[in-house]
Amino acid sequence: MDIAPLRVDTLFLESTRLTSGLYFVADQEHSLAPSAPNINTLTRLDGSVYLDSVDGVTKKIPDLSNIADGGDILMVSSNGSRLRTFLSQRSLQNTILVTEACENLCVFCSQPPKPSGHIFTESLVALRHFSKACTIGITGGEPTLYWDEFLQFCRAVSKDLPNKNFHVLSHGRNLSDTDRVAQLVETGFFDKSYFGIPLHGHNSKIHDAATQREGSFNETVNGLINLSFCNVPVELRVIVTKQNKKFLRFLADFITTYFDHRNFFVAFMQLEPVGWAKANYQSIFAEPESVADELSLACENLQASKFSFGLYNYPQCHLPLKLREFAHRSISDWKNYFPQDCGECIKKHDCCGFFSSAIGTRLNRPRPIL
Amino acid sequence: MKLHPFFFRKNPENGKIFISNQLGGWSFLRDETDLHTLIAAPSELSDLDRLQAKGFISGSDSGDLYERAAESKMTHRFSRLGEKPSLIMVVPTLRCDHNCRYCQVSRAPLSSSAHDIQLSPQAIADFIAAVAAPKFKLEIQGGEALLALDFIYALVSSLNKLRGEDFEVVLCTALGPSIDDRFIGWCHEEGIRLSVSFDGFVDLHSKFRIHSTKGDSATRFLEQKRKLEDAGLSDNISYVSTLTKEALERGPKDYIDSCLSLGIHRIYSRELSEYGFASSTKSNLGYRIEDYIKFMGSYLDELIVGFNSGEDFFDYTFSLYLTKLLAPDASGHMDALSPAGYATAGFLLNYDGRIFGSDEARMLYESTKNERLTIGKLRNKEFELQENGFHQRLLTESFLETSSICSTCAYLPFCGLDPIATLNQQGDLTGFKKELSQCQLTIGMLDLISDRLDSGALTREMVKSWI
Repeated sequence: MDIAPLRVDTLFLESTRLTSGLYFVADQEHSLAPSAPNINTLTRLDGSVYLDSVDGVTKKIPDLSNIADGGDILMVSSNGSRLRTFLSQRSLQNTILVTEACENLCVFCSQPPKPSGHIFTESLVALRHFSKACTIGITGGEPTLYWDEFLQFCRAVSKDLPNKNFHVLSHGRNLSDTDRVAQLVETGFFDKSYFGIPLHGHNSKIHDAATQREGSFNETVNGLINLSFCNVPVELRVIVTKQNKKFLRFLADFITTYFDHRNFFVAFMQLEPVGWAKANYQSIFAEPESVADELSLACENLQASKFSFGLYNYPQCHLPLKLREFAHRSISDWKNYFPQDCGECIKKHDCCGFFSSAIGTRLNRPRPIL
Repeated sequence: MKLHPFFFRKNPENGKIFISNQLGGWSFLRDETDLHTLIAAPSELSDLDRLQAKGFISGSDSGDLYERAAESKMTHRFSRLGEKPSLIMVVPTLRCDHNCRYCQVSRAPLSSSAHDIQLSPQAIADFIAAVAAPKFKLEIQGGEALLALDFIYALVSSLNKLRGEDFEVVLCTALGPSIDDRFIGWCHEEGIRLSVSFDGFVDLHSKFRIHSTKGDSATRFLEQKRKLEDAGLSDNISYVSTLTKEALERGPKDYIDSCLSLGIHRIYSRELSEYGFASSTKSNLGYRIEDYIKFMGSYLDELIVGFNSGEDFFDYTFSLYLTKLLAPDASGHMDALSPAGYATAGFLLNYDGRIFGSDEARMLYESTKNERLTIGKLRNKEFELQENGFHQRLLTESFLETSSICSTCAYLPFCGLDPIATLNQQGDLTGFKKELSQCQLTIGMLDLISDRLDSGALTREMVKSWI
């Protein structure tokens, strides 16, 4: 039977209650950064006994070591009964969802936007206490939506957090404003960040249909040009769908013509059936066989023009032979699984596997390479 | 639908209209009728997606995207001028044990010790370390590099101390001088690349490259080549060939077969130089550029046939133009940049301490001794700048974007020039670039390659394995 493992990052408390908000997990080796503002702490006393700094009471939280180590930051839900890792020393990729609001309404959005505030202030406090040198993902929603707060955040992390770099997943539209980009240059944030920006087509017709926002193509491309002026590295994300699959070579040509190969990396991505992509699955999912030729042409065009690129979420058996070397094992092990047919496949170890969220859809049909 | 500025040219190879733009996008239109349609009513053309992707047209809602992208591309290109040079050429001696009839550098005889470098390797290393880009190539030119090995060992060792692994070393040699175990060990240890002169055909090599002491030059070359291969240095060697009239007459098939029979799978062929002794022997050995282009056309077709039948042979002379067309911004070939790479992408330190902006500048100096060509002199540890406005002038003239005729050429986005060429061929800084041999060569080669790419004869598979 195919069973997909779930990532353990959340802990439900039984009778114990904590105060809603961020907590720093302290132990003998990890204590609060002295220069940073205050944050709640859970200090590990003995085994599963922790001292809660908010009420000064010792509490029993037996499973905490499953989700958190000393030095981690946890977030407690509003009713105080649920704990979730916010920043983890163990994780290879810490990502902060700073807001759930977004101007675009992409038909395949995995995290459908909703009206929401932001958590820049909290994120900054957490980051100040998180000692690990690493790259932090900033995602949403749209991280640049609350521009002033975003800018303030960028200024603070650039000044105070030398051991952190940032990957910002944005639709790039707000970066079409040169004044805003100038503000961002001034913060020094570009020296420690790169941007992941989706581009869905070589013209506004295709791109705007995907984002369901007229004018988004122009703004995004203008944003990309601005980043190009600033020499900021960009990961261009192309979600391959039924709607753009016939135009991938043109998208590749557009990218090589309009942008600079030194700063741009192109990521072709198979969509994950979650969020709206799940709801719209039948109308947007492109069968791998129907994409192979066009994807090959696009990759060849990029390669000839010296652009770097990669293929994400594509199982090896969904790709033509010549493209397999560019596929990444991109699906995290808590999100992927290998159906029974994959058992004998010789490419299994190079393969990203299948989204566990795709069980029961056509996306998960393997063609083992024997 | 919005139409953006574009260049056009009728390609004589296929009669189609080559169109290009300042973003480096290019495409073909079937004929003049399509060209007229593009101008008058672009939306009636059948290939709109391609034209849109390549920056020729865009939606009427696209604002100033094209202009901003062009500005960004140009900014990137010109910002190179603010970077340090990454090609550092050093001539430790002008002496050479060969006496080639088409020598471009006006070599000096073996016995002439006045043509050896007098500066200390340490002083030169200090100078290079101070001015070179973070990653650079040290190219040892000549004369014959192997006649100055002690100097080169010391220079590389001093540079290693100053710049670690940040540079690669290329020695230009015709492999005349004896090779010992120390040299072989050093090549292995330092990963030295040897750029070896070999003219493709054994008998033509013997005929035009006369060795002054060691008998037949081709026999010597083959003997030395074998020695390097036996020492495990095959991968360190690349071959540079100068094509004479006789080579052209024999045709590309024989040329390829001759190279393959000697185990040579990659070569860089070039036309006869316009400098040095070559400029005076040209009437005997030379040919018209048209004949050279014709040869290159059938040569390219042979390479394509060869590739399709599994033969492993390629000539790097094509990769220069292929890169220009497919990745114009990735091409860093110093002699083909606009503005020129002269004194900015690279420079040359001569055996006499003179600094030149390019190899061509020193070639011209060696045959004219015109001091204006000198940028400065290195004496002991002092660098003395001989600035006279001349070099800025040369650079100014090398902005093809502002040069008459060039500024409307369809190949402008893929072109570049060593500014010494106009001086050498036309005695003038501005010159009439259309009549330069390099202009005719570039146009001819780009005609060929764009046609073969368009027809599909030159496949992406070939491009992938060749460049």
